[in-house]
Parts: sequence; structure tokens; C-alpha cells
Amino acid sequence: MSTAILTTSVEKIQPSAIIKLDGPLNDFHAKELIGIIEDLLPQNYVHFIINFDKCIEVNNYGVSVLISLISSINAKQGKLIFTNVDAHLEKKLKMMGLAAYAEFYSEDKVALESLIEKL
Amino acid sequence: MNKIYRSLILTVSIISITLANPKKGNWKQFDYTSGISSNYIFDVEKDSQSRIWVSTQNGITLIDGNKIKKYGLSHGLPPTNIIKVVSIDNIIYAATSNKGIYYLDDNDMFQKADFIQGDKVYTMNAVGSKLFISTKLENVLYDGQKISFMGNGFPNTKIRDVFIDRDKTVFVGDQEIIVKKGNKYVSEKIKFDKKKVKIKNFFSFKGVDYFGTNKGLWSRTKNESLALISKSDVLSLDHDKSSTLFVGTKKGLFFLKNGKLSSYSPNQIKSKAFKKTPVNDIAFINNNEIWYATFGSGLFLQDIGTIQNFDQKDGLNSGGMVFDMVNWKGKTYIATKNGLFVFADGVFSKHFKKEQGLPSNVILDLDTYEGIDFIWLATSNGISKFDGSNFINYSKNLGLPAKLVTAIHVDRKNSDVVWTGSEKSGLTRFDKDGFFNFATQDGLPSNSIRDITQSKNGDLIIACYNAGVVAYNGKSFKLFNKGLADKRVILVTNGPEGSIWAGTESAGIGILKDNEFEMVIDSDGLGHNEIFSLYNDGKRMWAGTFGGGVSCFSDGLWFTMSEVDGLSSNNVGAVVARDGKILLGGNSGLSIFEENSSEFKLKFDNILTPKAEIPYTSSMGTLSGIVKDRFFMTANALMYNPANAEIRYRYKADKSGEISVWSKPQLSPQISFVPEQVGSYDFQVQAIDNRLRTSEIVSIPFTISRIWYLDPKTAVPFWGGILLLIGLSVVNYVNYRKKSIEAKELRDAEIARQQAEMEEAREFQQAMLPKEMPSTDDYEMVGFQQTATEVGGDFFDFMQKEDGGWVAICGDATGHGLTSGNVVSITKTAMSSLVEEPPVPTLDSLNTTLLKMNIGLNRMCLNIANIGKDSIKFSSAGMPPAYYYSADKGELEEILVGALPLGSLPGAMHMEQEISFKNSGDIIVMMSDGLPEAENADKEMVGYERTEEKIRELADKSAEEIKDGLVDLCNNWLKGNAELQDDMTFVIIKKK
Repeated sequence: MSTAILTTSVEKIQPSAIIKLDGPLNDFHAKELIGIIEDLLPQNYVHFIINFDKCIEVNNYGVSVLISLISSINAKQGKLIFTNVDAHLEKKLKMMGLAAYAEFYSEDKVALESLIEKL
Repeated sequence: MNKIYRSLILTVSIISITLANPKKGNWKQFDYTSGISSNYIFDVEKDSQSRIWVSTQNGITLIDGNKIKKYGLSHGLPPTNIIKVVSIDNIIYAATSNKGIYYLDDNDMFQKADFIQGDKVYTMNAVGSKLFISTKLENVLYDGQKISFMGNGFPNTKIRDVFIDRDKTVFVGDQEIIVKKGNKYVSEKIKFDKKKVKIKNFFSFKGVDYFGTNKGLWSRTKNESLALISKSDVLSLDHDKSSTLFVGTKKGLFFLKNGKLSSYSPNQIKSKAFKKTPVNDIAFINNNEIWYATFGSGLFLQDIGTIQNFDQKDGLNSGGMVFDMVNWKGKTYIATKNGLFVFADGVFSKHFKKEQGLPSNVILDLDTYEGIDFIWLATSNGISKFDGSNFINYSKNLGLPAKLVTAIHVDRKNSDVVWTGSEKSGLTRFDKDGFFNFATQDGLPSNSIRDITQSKNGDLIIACYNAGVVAYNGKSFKLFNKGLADKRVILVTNGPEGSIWAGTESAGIGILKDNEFEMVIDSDGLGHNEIFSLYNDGKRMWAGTFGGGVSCFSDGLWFTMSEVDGLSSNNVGAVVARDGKILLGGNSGLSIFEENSSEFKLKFDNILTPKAEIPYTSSMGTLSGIVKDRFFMTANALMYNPANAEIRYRYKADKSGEISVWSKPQLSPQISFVPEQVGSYDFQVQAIDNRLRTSEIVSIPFTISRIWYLDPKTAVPFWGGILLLIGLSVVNYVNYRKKSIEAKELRDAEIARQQAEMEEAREFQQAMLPKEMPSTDDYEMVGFQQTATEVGGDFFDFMQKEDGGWVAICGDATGHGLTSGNVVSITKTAMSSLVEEPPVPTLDSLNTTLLKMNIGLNRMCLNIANIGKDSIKFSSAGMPPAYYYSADKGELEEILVGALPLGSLPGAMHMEQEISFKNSGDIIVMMSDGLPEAENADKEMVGYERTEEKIRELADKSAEEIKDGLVDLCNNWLKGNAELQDDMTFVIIKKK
């Protein structure tokens, strides 16, 4: 399990926020993502695009963290979108049931356009 | 005043009048190539700080010692003519022709003065401590704070100039002059006998008023009418404070002497050419410094006082060399290669040659002294006695041993006795009894005699060529040459404090003291080592050299003047003092040097200290530093010298209570001070002009202390503090070490405790796994778990139902360590009561249970395979896909039943898939993500495809072999250089 640091950058496009992960989403750092989203939700950022392009590892704990976000986002009628997910991670996320609660897009721009279209 | 003193003053005055001749002296030109703003100059002023301000039609130039700075548009000046600069209270004011008045602010920028009305300025002058300004709108005085109008009857007229003398101030209008009488200003209209005359400037001295106008120069003596002196358009007037009026006109320069104007010009410009040059201003500072502002040819500096040269044009046709000079009866007699000249009152009044009775025109030596009636001459053809009119000659046929007489000396104790020297025939005494010769057989060390003088005790002192200096007491000769670097002695004279000075042919000067010579050579400051003349003026020693000008030893310092300082020649054969001046005879004639004893100013550029660069001011406080600090300063002598004379600098650092000696003068103005000891210093610097002039001594006080950690005041608390700190540090370190050891022991104990706990957790986890694999007739069932370095959350189990069927589970609790172990424990416990239930209700129930347990972010991923007779009901919550191999079809199928891990959300949906499992060889493989996500050293995962491929490859193997094959896959992938990062668990069921 990687002990590297997870850094995140947030691009705010009301009511959406693009969160780019850089580093591992695992036991050590995954909780930081909860803090970010819990900060943004009260500010009416309800749709979250999580970009995994530079995410080097997602383990089961990381997926648990993503799952834990579902109820909060759903409570705000928000959407959870994953982008730049490689095949292995996509399989992992799907087998762990996240396909029913999140959408997958190739990149942020497409995800954002899709969101705007749906809104 | 006694008669003698009066006579002396009169003589000095006459000489001064004669010598203050503007046609003589040295000039220097400053033009735009020298760095001034323009060749077209309106005004030149010297301020109280000895700085020269030049007002031009293209800004202002400041000549500040050896620095020249231009002020122009970038310094706030307007693009117009600057007609005048005046300094009052160290503030510089600039008058423009049509843009008002400007002043220089603290940031070195010119600002427009708003206190004056009218941009057209006629004149601006310092009147006392105030600034007088005449503009198109007003005539006012400005005291630096406020304006006051002239009032008191001052007419509303244009003022062109202001003349200020000790006893009167005259304001000059176009046709009038205004003076204050009592409390009232009184205007006097000046009536010229020409029309359209406009007064431009005014000068008054010795009861004569001078009016410079556009139509000429007029003078007016009290109660007399105006007299026209010249018709020149007069632009400027100044005076040397004695009798010479300098007149700048539209067509060159003139000086007024004896009622007549004479033109003169800088010696680098022909007089005719200079007559096309308007001279707008003349600033007479003193005889050594006169500035001329011209309109077209730049700025000129003239020195008519320091050195004046006389040659053939002036009546001194020396034939190429002056050999000696003596003063006698108020006149100076000059021995040359071309006869004897008499010089007095600046004029060569007489010239005696063979035709006038001289035995030869080549006169090599002269001697006389005040009180006797003759001058004795040594010539190339015997000796001669001169009474002022006639010569009485004595030649070889009268008993003189040689025609060529090299030296002559009148005995100071008996003027009837004359001593002569010759080149080869020794010393000769001449008296009423005739000639008596002394040669080597009489004890004279050499027969070549080059000079004779007499000591105070009456002994003759003789320059004996190739032997040394010889003293003759009337009875015997005594030779002195110990320490003499060159025995070719050609000159002797009495020096200060009873010393004898001997000039040598090529080794400088030997100073005889205590029977031993000490040499002075060029490296000591002497102009050249070939000595050509020696002279003691009573307080200073002079040495004329052959090629190096003249050197003067004064107050312990050598000064050397040469052609670059304005001397007419570097070969100085004779020196004599007269009326406070020094006459120097050489191969180009006569140079008269007049010492300017006034000190010139000296300042510094910024002083560079180890801490900062500090601006120098004359009133700066004490500088502080520490021992061995180096302080740099660059001296700037505010001395303006038209000749290219060198300025040298010397310094000394007087420590409190101790007097130090001056350094050897140096040419570089860069001076550094490195204090070696603690204390208060008075660091003094002085500039030295070759022409016997020195600057003021500038003092900079320093307080030097030890470096703070060595200074007792700070060292005791500092080192005490350091020791205390070290002591405290030692105590702290000991405590720290003690606590560190305790902490390490605690930490080690904690680690041991955690390891024990982990080991317990591992054992607990392992204890939850089946001890043995179920053995049935229908299936091979194999479970396997390989834990990672940490305690993971994987587990598997086989549970038998009441109907004999089996339920196989394979799970993976998220997270690691004890928490995940707890989740496994809860799941397994709950599971035990659900074994009879189908997979989906089991998962639903487990999900509810775990949610109730509030397991935080921990989750349980779980596969359940409910094994029936011919089928397996399979369900999953968050686990990796299971693999089903159909022996009948020979195909391997991935079974992915995606669902959230247990404990994620209430009401999470689970699905079930029934798999046919009736043929022998059918296989189902469940696994955690440990194998597919195992990473090698290159961070590459095994992946699902490789895993699937491996299972396909092992399909014909037993369940145990399949397990081993999968373990091998993992081990081969890790290659021994990577560790398994997560638990790896398989459950393999194969239909028999």
C-alpha cells in the first residue's frame, strides 16, 4: 500500500466541482476526500466529478470512502461522476457496486457537458 | 609702522602689481568635450563649498573638485537658458531667462520656486544673506522663507546687475544705478554722451566707478564726468582687488591697467581668434583662480599668480641657461650663458655682456651678500668684481690658476677674501696679497672644485668632485663622504639645523649630519637625482634638478614642480628667493613662483564602512567600528589648477593621547584606514599640491572597539550566557537522553505490545479459518489464505447445512488490522445463524447487521456460494468476480455480480446467480483481490486477465493443484523482490 501523499485540486463550476486526485486513494489519505466534499456540499456544490487520471492506487478502503459519499451527495440530489478511470479500476468500482450510484466518463469536459445537458 | 617695514610692503606691492599680469600665467579650457553642458555659458559662480557652478544654455554644470556633473531636463530644469546660479545658505538657486527661478532640493532635483512672480528674470544676486531677484514683474529679496519687496523708494525698473563691495551695494538698471542712502533707495540717472546706452554692469574701486555698457566702458572719478575708456560692448567686469580691472566684452578679454585696455587671451587660443568670443562672466577668486565664462568657447580657468615665466620676449636672452642668481641691493642679478641680467620690478633692466666689460659671457657662479659693495662672478675666463656699473676682471695672467672658474665665494668673515674653485686646479684664495692655491699636495682630496660655501663657524665647505664634501678650517682639509652614494659632488649649501647639503651628479642629495651622509633620492620625492642647484631660503630647501624641475623640502615634505605645473623648464640651474617669491632660472629663462599659502578645501566621497556606505559631511559624527575593520574613503580636493599638477594625499590616525606621523604622500585619492587597536582615533587627511600648497586637514573621528564578543562590556554577559547555555544544554541533554531512553523503552514496549496484539489478531484471524477442508464425495473443496505483512481482512469458510449441503464463503473486510478483524468476526458470527438462508437474504441480513454495528468506513465484501446438488447459488457483495469452469463446455466464465460491500448503505440491493454444477470437472473459484492486485517491483498488477488465464490453464487439475498454481502465479509475479500488499484468499470447489 502506497504511503505517498494524496494531493487534490478542486475546480469549482457552480453547482459542480471537479476534484482531481494526485496520489493514492487508500487507507492513509482517502478520508481527505470526504473532508473536501463535505466542505463543498454546504456551498451548494452538489455534483462531483472525480478525476482519477493521476490517482496511482485505489484500494478497498478507498472505494469505501467513495461509497460513503453516495448518501451525502444523494441527499442533495447531486451526482457522482468518475473520469479518467482505467480498465482495472473501472472493473473494481463496478464489482463493488458503484456503477449503480456513479457515472463514468472519459474526461472532465465530457462529464461536465453531460451534467449541464442533464441539468 | 617703521620705515623698513613700510619699504618692504611697498616693494611687495610693486612686485605684485607687476606680476599680476593677465597676459601671464596658465590657462585651462573646459568645453563640452571636458564634460560641461555647453560651450555657451552665461555665468560662473564659486560657492562656499568651493564648488563651481556653470550656467549654460543647455543646463547647469557642477565642477566639484575632480568631478563634473551635468544638470539638465532629467534633473527638473526647464529647456531654456540658465543665466545665473547663486548659492545662499547652501541652497542652489538657478535663474532662467524666461522660466523663472529654480532651486535644488535634497534629492538633487531642481524644483520651480513658486515664491517669485514673473518668469522673465533679468538678474539674480546674493545680497548679504538674501537673494535679490529682478523679474519682469518685480524686484524682490528672498530670505529663504519669505519674499520682501524692495520698497523704500526702490524704482520699478529692470535691474541688470548688482555690485557689492564691503561698503556699498549698487543695483544697476539700464540707465541708472540705485544705492541705499539711510533708509531710502536713491536712483541716479547716468548720462552718457551717446544715445541708446544701456548699462550692463558696474564696478567701483579706489574711488573710481566703471560702467560696462553696450556702447563701451566708461569710468568716473568722484566729482568728475564720465570718461570713455573703450567702445567695446562690455559683458562682464571683475577686479583683482588691487589695480587690474578685468573686462569681458562681446569681442574677447581685456584688462585695464594704467587707464589703458589691453587684450589678452587664453594661451591655447590665438588672441585674434579669441576676439570673436563674447565673455559673459568673469569670476575673480584670487590671482591663482580666475574663471571666464564665454559664449561659444566654453569655460576657462586662469592662474596668473602661481608661476609666471619670463624669456627672451621679456628681455631675458639667457643663451640657453641660467647658472646662478643673487639678490643685491634690491635687485636680482642673473648669471647666464649669455651675460649678466639685472631684474627688478618685473623688468629686466640691464644686460651686461663682454661689451660692457665682462671677461666672458658665460657666468657660472655669483656670490655676494647684503652689506658689501660688490658681486663676484666666476666666468669661463676668470673672475670679475662688479660694483653695479663696472667690472674689474682677474684672469690667469694675474695669477688665477685656471681660466674656467667653476665656483666663487666671498668669505663671510672677511669680505676682502674671495675663494674660487676650478675644474682641475684646486681651491684658490684671493686677497690683497694675490692668489694662493690649494691642491691635492696640500691635503685637498681632489683638484676639481665645483662649489664653495661657508658654515656658520667660518669653515669653508667645498664640493670636491669625485671625492666628497671637504671642510677647510684655515689649517687643514677634512673630507666627508661616508654614506655618500655619489662622490661626484657638484653643489654644497648650508641646510637646516647645521646640516650640510651636497648635490651630486646622479645620486640625489646627500645630507651631512654627524659626519655621515643620508641620501635623498627621487623615490623620497625629489624631482630627479641629477642635482643642478641647491638653495636655502631660510625656511625651506630648494633643489633644482636636471630634467625633473625643482624640488622643495618644506615641513618634512618634498614638493616638486616641473613643466606640467607651469615651469618654463625642467632644468633648473639657479634658485633664489625674493620678496616672498622664488625665482627659478633654467634653460628656458626665468620662472617666478609665488606660493599660495591659503588652504584649499578637501572632502570625501562616501565613506565605505564594513556596515554601510555613509555619506560624508563636514559635520559628520564619530564613526564606529571594530579592530581590523577597513574603512575606505575617496578624497576629492576642491582645488582648481589650470596646470596638470598632481595632487597627493597623506593621512595619519592620531589615537587618543598619541600623535602619529603622516603617511608618505600617495597619488591615489583612495585612502583606507584599518585600525589595529581599540580606542578613539582622529583620522586626518590632507591633500598636497606640488606647488607648496596644502589643503585643510580634514578629520574624521573614529571609535574603535573590540569585536563585541571580545569587548569586556559585552563579552562577559555574552560568554557568561554562552556558558550558561552550554550548561543548560548539557542538563537538558542529559534529561533528554534519560527521557529518550525511557521513551524508547516505552516505545519498544508499545511496539512489542502492538506486535503481540497483531500477532494475536493474526492468530485470531487464522483461528477463524477452517482447520481442515471439508471432504465430500461430490466435491473437492479447498480454501487458502496467505496473509500480507499486515493483518488483512480476508477470510473464507465452509459451513455445512442441515441438509448436508455446503455453503462456501470468501470475504474481504476493508481496512487492515484489528478493526477489519472485528468486522470479519461479526460477519462470521452473524453468518453462522444464516447458513440455512439463500445467499441474497443472507447478504441483506448481514448488511443490516453491519450497519447497525456502526463500523464506520469499514465494509465487508463477501461471496457466498450455496452449493446444491447440481448447482451453486452464487451471490456477491463487492467481491472480485468468481470464475466458473464448465467441464462440459470446456469454458471458463467470469461471474461478476456487482453490489456494494456489506455495511455500505441500508437497503442495498443484492442479486443471485445460479450456476450449473453437475458435471464432473466443473469448477468454481472465488477469490479476494489479493491475487489480481498483487504488484511486482515494477508496480504492475497480476490483473484479472492473467488470473483468468491461469485458472483456464489449471482447469484439468485438482482443486489443490489449482490453488497451488494460483499461488505460483503470485510468487512468480512477485519474483521475490516484491511483497504481497494484501491478503490473498482462494476458495476452489471442484465437482468430482
